Amino acid sequence: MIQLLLKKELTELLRTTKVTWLLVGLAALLGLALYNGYAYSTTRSQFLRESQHITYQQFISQGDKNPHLGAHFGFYAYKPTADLALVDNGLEDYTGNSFYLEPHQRGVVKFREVSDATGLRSFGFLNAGYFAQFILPLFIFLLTHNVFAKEWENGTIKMVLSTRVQARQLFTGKLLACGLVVGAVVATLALGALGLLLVQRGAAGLGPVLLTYGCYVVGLTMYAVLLTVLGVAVSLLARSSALALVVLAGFWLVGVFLVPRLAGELSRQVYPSITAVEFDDQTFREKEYGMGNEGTKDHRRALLEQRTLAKYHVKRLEDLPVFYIPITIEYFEETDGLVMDRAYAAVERNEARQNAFVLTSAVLSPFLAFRDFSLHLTATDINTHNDFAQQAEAHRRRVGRVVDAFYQKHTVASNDFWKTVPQFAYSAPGLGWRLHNAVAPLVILLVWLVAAGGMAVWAYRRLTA
Amino acid sequence: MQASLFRVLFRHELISLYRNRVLITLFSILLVLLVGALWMGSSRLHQQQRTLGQIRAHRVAAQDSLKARIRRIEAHGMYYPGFIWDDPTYAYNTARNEGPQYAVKQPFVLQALATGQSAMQPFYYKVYITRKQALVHESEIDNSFLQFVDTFDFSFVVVYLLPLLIIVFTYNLLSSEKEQGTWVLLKTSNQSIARLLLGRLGIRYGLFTAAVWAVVVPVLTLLIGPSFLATTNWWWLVAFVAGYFAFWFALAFLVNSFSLSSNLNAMSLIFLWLLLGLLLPNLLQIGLNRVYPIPSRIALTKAEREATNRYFEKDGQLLTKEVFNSPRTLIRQASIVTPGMVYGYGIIVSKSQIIKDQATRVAENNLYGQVEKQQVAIGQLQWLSPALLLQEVLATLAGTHWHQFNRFSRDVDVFREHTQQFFYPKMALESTYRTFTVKDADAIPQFQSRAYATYSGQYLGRVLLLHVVGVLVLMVLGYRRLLHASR
Amino acid sequence: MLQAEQLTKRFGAHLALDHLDLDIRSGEVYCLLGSNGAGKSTTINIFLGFLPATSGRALIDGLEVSVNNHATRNMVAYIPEVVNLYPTLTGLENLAFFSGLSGYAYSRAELRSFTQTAGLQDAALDQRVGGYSKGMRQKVGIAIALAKQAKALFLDEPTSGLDPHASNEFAQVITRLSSQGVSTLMATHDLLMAKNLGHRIGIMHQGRLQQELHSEAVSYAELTDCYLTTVNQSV
Repeated sequence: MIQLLLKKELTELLRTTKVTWLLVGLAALLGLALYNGYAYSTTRSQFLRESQHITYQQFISQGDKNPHLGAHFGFYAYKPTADLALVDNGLEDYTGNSFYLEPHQRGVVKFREVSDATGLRSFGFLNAGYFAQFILPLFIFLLTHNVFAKEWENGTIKMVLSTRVQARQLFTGKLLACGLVVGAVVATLALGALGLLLVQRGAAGLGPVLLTYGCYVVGLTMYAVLLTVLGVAVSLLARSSALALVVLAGFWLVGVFLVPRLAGELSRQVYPSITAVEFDDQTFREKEYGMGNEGTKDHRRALLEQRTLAKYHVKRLEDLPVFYIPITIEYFEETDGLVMDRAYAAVERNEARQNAFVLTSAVLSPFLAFRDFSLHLTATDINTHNDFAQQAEAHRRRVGRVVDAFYQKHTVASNDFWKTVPQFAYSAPGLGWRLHNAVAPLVILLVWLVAAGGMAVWAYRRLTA
Repeated sequence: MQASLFRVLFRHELISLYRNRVLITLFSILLVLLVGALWMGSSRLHQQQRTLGQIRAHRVAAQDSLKARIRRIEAHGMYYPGFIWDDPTYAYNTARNEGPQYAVKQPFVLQALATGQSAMQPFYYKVYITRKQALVHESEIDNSFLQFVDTFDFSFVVVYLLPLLIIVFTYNLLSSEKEQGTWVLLKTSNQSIARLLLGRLGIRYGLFTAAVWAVVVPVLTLLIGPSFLATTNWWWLVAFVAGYFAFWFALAFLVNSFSLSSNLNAMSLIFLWLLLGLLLPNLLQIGLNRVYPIPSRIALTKAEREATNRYFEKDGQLLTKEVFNSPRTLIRQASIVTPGMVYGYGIIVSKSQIIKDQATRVAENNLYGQVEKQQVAIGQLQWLSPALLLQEVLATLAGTHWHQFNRFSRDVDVFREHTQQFFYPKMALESTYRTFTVKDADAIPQFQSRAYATYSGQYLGRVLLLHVVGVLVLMVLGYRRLLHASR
Repeated sequence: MLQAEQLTKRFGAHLALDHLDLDIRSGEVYCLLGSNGAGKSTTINIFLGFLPATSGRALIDGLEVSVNNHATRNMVAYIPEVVNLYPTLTGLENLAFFSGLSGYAYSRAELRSFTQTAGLQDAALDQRVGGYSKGMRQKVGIAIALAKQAKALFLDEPTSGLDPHASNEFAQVITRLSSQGVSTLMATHDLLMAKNLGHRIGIMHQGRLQQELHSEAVSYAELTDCYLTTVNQSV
């Protein structure tokens, strides 16, 4: 029975000119999206790898210098392109990827690509992720909106219902037919991206990301299923294809654009960010006057001097067996570091609250939930970015300690010394960590899936009544 | 005759719109969203204005403290009790500490309508001799995720949401007549279908546009005061938004004229919306990035560091040796900071900065040049997508376009050069490195802000004219089709 | 075969069907006459299970429709005024689909035999239904009823808009089905068709069955007279 329904629906769909055009257009877009994502991630990852190499080479070949002056020359920690950036580049262009490793200055990630982009950037960036998050849902809705409604409009519904077919079978048949077409699109997307990943990373490089990519595809499938069920159910409830289309397209618009943007703006209102002026003021004050009752910087400097002199049993700085300046640098690197850590932690905490607020709104929008899921799995999310920033900052301090230890004994550093400063390397955490971050959006997607299923059952039960 | 037909149609439209619950509900929701967008845009504007207020206060306090400290040191025979790197009578210290001034781009009031690049680009810089940046950060502290999510402002509502509402308003204007069977009655009335449809669409357009402005003007006046009404930017904006609405109504008119089913009309219009509003700009972006790839800023630092290394291979090497090995500066140099060391750092920093600036200027000009080329191409191709066109125009009128931020950024570069020219001679000369006085403090160059929300009226006029011509073409095409259809 | 017991349907305050009693035997053709809104289509819709009755029972072969809808649907075929079919499918595909929905998988030859019985030309079988005339769609509708091997046939104004030739062909098919034991309930405005085709004729007015006549027992003129008197009376 279901096979019969499926065959009839597929024949109908494929004989409809607009569906054919829709599929042709979609295929073109999909090809372009895959290519664009591939080109983006390939050029970028190569560029960043090279840059990481070059910046370190520049550092270790800077020649004879005062160690502190040389440390100020510093080098950069670059966030390598995410392993699945081909699929979704997420926040990559918004967070920046360059972290300057230099003494005294708590590093910040710089060079956000978006600040050198034209207004076109706000229209999005076409890649597989964009295709899956924005275009695929609209396609699903265009495909499904009249799958039931047309029975009313053709007047065939009475003929159908006067047979012994059950509403559930009718629904399942139509759902499967739409599901097959959607499934073909999703499969093309998934296999296309997989093929490009293979080309990009080679067979050996594909292994480590295969499981993560598999999970991404599972999420994508779940998302596509939920949207298909929703589309068919709305078509059944609306009984008019134009109304169904307006409802579904409206839902898409609201879910894709309105809810996230509105939630984003609201989150700024609910959890206002500290301004850079306030941030500077506050951290400057805390560095100069202390966070608690440790006293002013001058006072702490005097205490440090006394402590150091006592430690080496001498009366004058000139008599110390080690150089004193690196000791002060190291000391204030640590105390100022505490201030900056606290300030940045506060900023991050606030941002996490803002992000949680936006994510909560995904309860209203499965599109947003899927996007969030996609960001986490491809490691182009804010969590990975913060993880990178933390590791880069830790490395900056490590470099500082190495240089200051050397500086206590030497006034000139040569390339031989610079080579002992470790290079920076970052790789994003693995699947477990990513899935852990993606629990909330996954739960939301599941709830939506169940709700869509419930709506479908409710809709076809009403059909029998 | 003509007037009475209009009255009949107008009455008919009012009744049918009023009785359509779905439309009324949708429209009310959208008006609420419009109010929300205006509120959020204006609160961003106010936030920026507050920040600029903080900066002004900060600036005054810093200047007062600088002068007070210099006076105190001068009164104590040039003795400074604190850390030598904080002593403001050293020009190099002041250049790093209290000397750097703020360069500010005052937000234009209409920024409340179009956030444009103001969400991405810094609207103020603290200008050091070595860099320009918004304090510790490159720009204002903002959540990258929220920037990724993008803004919700008037421009977004008008460019994306309202066209969809227009589609809901118009997609079945003719097809519903056919589907409910009233088409035959219309055909047998002695009015031409083309005229009737045009009249009904015109009335809906008028009502729609009037309703939008009837909400926007009073709400905006409440939020940011009435001063915007006196700017020419505003009236250009009104004209462009009206033109944009007209485009969508005309497109719906044309689609209706093909006498397809309501469903197919709706699908076609939604597809066109997707194509014009999202896909074409996206394709344009891909193409432009191919033709004019924008170099990464990483290339800038690469060039800068390469130049620095080259410098330190020879000249810089000699200079550092001279500074750090001079018996004047070197008294167990790595244990006690001597005045000579402050001076020495001043020389090294200023000399190597000149090298760095030369290297980055080339790379930066290359970078801006590529973005500029993309912008020029967008200017030429924006007619492909009215959504893109309107977004560009709204940003221009609100003073948040890339061009305007770029002009500001370049002004700041020039200002940084002035700042360098002021400090370099003082910090790098043996006779002046510790002679920074109150008079010098007052002479520190200040950034002269200008209006950045300017535009070329001639250019906008041309764009608007082209847009109107496009709308007319769509309408004439639709009208001719309908004349044929009703024959 | 078909029974209505005190069948009543209310739409809000409006009484669409008022305690209708019917008993149609196997092979009997029963015609329901009445003006628009008399309750003819409501009766058919209740038998088909499209509408629930407010009170009373509708039975097909002894099974109550509201309780055994699935089983009763197996026994019925329905031909509305306009037989709506899937425009992108061919006539044969439509037939195969609908008979398939009723659980029958026929070969092409078998399907063809149904369309031939229904009077549809072979040349039309593989054309898309989008291009069919009303009469041709009607024939596909009959073919579907044949293919379903229905025991009861519900016809809602089946001949309105058909030309006399097509109308006549249609009547012949119904007569043949009747001789095979198929019960038919037909709602119509066509008094002549009712007189010629029906065994019994019921005249409805404002939800009530006002008159029941045996067609052999009345002349066309008497039927017309009776119809007009019934529908012109006010209750």
